[in-house]
Amino acid sequence: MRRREEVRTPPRLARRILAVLVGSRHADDVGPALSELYRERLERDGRRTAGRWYWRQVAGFGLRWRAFNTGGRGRGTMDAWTRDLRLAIRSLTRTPAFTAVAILTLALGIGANTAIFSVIHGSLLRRLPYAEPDRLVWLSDGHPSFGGTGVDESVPNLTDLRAGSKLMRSSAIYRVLGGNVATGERAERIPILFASSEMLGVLGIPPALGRDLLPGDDNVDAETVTILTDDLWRSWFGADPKVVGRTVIVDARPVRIVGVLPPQFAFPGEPKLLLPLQHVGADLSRRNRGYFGVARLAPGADVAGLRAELQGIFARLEKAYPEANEGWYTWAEPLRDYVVGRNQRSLLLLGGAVALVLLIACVNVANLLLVRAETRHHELAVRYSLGARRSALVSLFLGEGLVLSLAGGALGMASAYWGVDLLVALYGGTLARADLIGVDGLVLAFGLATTLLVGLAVGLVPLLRLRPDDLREFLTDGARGASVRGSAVGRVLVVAEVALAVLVVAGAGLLANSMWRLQRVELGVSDPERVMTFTMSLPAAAYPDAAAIGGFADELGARLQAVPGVRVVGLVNRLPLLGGDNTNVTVFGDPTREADFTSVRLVTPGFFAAVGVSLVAGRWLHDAEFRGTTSSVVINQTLARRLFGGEDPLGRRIDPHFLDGGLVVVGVCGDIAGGRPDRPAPPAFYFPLATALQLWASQPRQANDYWGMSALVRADADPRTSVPAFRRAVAAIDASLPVSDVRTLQDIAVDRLGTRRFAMSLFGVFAGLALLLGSVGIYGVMSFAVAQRSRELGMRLALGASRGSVLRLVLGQGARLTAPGLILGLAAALASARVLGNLLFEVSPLDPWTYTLVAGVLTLVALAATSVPALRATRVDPVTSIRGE
Amino acid sequence: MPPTVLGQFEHQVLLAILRRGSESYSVEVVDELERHTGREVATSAVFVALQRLKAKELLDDRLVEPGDEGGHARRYFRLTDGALEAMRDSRQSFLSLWRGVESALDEPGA
Repeated sequence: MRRREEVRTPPRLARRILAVLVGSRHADDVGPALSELYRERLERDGRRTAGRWYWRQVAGFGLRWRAFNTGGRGRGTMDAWTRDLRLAIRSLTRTPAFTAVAILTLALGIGANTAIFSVIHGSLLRRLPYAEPDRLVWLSDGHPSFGGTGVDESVPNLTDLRAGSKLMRSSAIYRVLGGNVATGERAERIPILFASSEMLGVLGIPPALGRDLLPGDDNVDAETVTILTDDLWRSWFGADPKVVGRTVIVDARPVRIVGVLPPQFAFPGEPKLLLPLQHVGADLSRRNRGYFGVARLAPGADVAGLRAELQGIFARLEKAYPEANEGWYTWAEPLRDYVVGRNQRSLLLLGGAVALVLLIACVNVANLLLVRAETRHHELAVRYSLGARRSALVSLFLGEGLVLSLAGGALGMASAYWGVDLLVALYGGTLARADLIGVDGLVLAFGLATTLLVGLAVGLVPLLRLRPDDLREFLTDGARGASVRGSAVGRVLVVAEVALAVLVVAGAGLLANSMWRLQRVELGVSDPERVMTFTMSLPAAAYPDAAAIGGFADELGARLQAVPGVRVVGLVNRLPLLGGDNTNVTVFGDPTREADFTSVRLVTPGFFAAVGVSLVAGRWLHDAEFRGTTSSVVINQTLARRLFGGEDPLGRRIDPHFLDGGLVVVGVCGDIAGGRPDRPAPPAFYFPLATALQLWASQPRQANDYWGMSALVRADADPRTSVPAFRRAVAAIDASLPVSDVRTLQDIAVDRLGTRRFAMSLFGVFAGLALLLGSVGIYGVMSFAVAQRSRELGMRLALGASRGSVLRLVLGQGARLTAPGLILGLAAALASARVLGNLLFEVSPLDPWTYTLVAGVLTLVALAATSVPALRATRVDPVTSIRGE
Repeated sequence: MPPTVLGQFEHQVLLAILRRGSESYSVEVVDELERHTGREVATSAVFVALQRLKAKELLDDRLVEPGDEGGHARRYFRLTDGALEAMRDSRQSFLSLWRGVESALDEPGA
């Protein structure tokens, strides 16, 4: 009975709000009438519609009723408010220097917070643009040698996992690869999502135009079709609604467009085109890893359960196919973790750092307001004695706090608007979903909420000083009685400020130390800024055999060499400093001595000179070895050490499992760093491209296969100026072949530091802000303290104290203010430094040098901030200061 | 006393009460207005109009306590003589404004 009654009444919260809005005088009248109308609508339109109607009515009362009914009273409140605000503005404009400092301080804090929040919101918090994204799972592989999970898997393994699982409602296999895409007008190398036909169904995103991929499209001999992303459809085809049925050329093969994706489609790797994998019926090796899976959980299933199920299936696959699966394990994690995971820690850390900066800014402004309240004691006491109620004084201070924070917030949010664009321009490449980062309604709401909170906080702190007793005392005692408690509050604030600054600066110090070490890690290349690199992918359709690829390589090498200013040209299957293209290598005839994940580098004669790697032992490869067939190989120091330990590797044979009889080591070269900046250089061997091509010439190449080739061009001067000539050289050989990733070796070295660089630079900026704000705080309090004591100091000087002793006195007071903050801050930093986790490189979170340096810097800053008022104290004129009373 | 000027919505509220017979309460006014305008009416606007009309002495009201069957007290509104006069004026001025231009409402080609 009661339950039924409950259901027939309007939403409770709305009813409560209505009661407050209309007031007790009309509540008996309006409430029941509105409930009656609600019930009519409930029966006619259902609960949801009626509920919405009721809320609309309540909102209407909020707008109309109060304006009409409370008449004079409501207007009176508004009047009081505008009067307070006007008063606040007037009194703030009387002290323009104070006001400017306070507004700028808050603008820095709020602006930085808004900017970082917009990055966190776009990159981390936004839901993935799929149906029920929480039910999506990402499938990958793991191997201890790769340092964990997230490694690619093979199609046969994924197919078996899918077939055996009961906890996946649907799943798809995919890989994202660059492809050469061309229409009549343009050719570019762009990322392509190769996926089994279930992909869009799993994600829950049907095409906006045309059809989805069909199971038939997966067959290896089916006609190749494609679905465009909205972005590509607009930029390449002018959003032509008749695009379905047209043809694009992908890797030199015609591909028919069958659909267009909706604009919200997004996928890691930012693919612009969706093509079927065409793996059904293809003879794919289990060792050919390079694929991932996406699955939607079955109803009731969870990620942990799925992971356990898949690992059970994989245990059987490991037994059945040990040559491909031994030592590997399979892994499932929420798709969201995969998409945003790489940024999570650094972004949250930055969020924490920037929040600390805002806290410092607030403490600072509160402190300034407190000092200001001190100087206005007389005014306030008079107001109080004239009958101003405490609430009036409260609203006066709140008004000032709000005016300051609103001005600072407006300035801060405006700068955040531009700042975010700058951040994305500088670091967009290292952030997940950078295209989603921007200032939108939610970000502005965040900024506004922060602003109001800050206004309340800084406005209320001076009220700690405003007990009626103090004011009365002030009136009777004059200036002498003041500032006992005020300065106590002020001191606490400065101590807090210094401690917070130490915390931020210590974090920045540890990160900077790591960055410094990372940048000093030997790359193994010389003058990387002189070496321009770019990459081409030779599609099998146009370059079907070794002769075609070799011919292209020869001609490209010659044409690039002919460009003025070019010293040497090297070609390679994959650039140094990037990792990738690995194989397992053993000592020939001794499979127990092996080196996993050895980089395979197939090179032309100029490669070693172009990279600038040094020879450690033996010799380089001869020209003849680069032309004919050879079994000679150059290995790096790490591979030599892994395979041969202390023994001499020269003349020994290694087995990379592609040539009967193995390869003979003729030289050992220096190590070149791999793709991970925090890992030691990987083992590598260097083998002539020409011989490698002949070895593989007999093997048939799949239609959608391609041969990756990168060029390294070492120039006499800045190689950037020659980029157009390099592009012309490629176009002269094959006009339809796109050139991608044009950058210097130095750019690659910088880019691989990725998110660390982002986190480090911003942390550095925030540390600078914290120091600046902290010193302003110390300066403010010390200035005020000196001003307060000017009579006493003047007296001391008049009685014969030396200026030096007065200076020491004031500096000592400053030190007593800074030292507790420094100690507290260092303790907090030591306790919390572990959150920096793997962002640190070869630096302990408790690194003594960093903390010593931080303490030193803080001490210097505090000394500088104190010395200005201290020097002022020594110049106090005794006569003036005593007569001033 | 100068003639009371009616706003359009006030005029509609008075008309709704008139149509309901001698007197009606807020819920009936809202229902009547929605039935004839075919649009959702903001109840707050109706309540404000009722109060304003009462302040202009165009409406009388009385509170009726709930009967034996329960429910709640209802405030019933009745038109005053002044209300009828104001409505007459308002209607008259509208009609005179329309006179001679009604053809603009004819459907083109009719």
